[in-house]
Amino acid sequence: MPLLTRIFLFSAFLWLLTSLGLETLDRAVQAGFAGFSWGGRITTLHGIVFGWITQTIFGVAWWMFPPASRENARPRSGLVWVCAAAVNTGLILRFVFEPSGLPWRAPLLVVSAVLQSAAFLLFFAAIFPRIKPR
Amino acid sequence: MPPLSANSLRLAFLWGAAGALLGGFSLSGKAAGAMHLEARLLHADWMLYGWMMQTVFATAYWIFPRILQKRPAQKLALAGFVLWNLSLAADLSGLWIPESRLAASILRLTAAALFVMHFVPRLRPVSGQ
Repeated sequence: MPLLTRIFLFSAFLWLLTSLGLETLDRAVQAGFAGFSWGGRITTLHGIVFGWITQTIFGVAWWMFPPASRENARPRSGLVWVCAAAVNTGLILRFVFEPSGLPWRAPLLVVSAVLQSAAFLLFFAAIFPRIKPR
Repeated sequence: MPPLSANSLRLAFLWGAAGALLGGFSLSGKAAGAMHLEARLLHADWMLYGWMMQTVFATAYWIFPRILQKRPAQKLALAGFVLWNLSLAADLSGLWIPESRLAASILRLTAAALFVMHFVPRLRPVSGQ
């Protein structure tokens, strides 16, 4: 399993645990068992669908899709490194700033949006040569 | 990878890229205090149905066990993929013609029924297991 796949899958598991943990905390608050409310339902949803599911797809696709050529099975890996950094940095910014009223919230949410969108486009550009019928 | 899976995966990445851009605009708009509900619904449809579910169906078509070395009822699967992608285009027209959101749902349901008819016979142990 390539290193980038392991990074995607490890990050995906971390986002799964983080998102479900924060959702559990929110429900504990609603049930009267905890005093601190996270209040980021949309944020945790994106932790699941982008942090967990999409990163799992990225990781497995990078590993299992047909090689681009005999000489270079996984070209454009630099794009995928930047993609992995952008996914996780974008999500961290989102988790910190979306449910909060911290200073710099608006510009940093825009940065988060750009990073998450760019991550998708980068992976798309990197994997496209490997989506081919045999 | 069969041609149908390759084309479907290409489309899945295209819908995903479009949906991610739309999500980026929505999140930026939220930061600026604007909430575009229709754009967010379209973002959700394209990411869930266009990207994730289409990736699942395309990969399943590729790797599920074949019957006598062949994928059965390929026309059902082809029709399903065409209708599935038409439904995503109909979601877009829902921004201007609200009724087309219902048409999108009907197309998606029909496509899902076609996928079920194609995939169920392939849910079987691989020979020798």
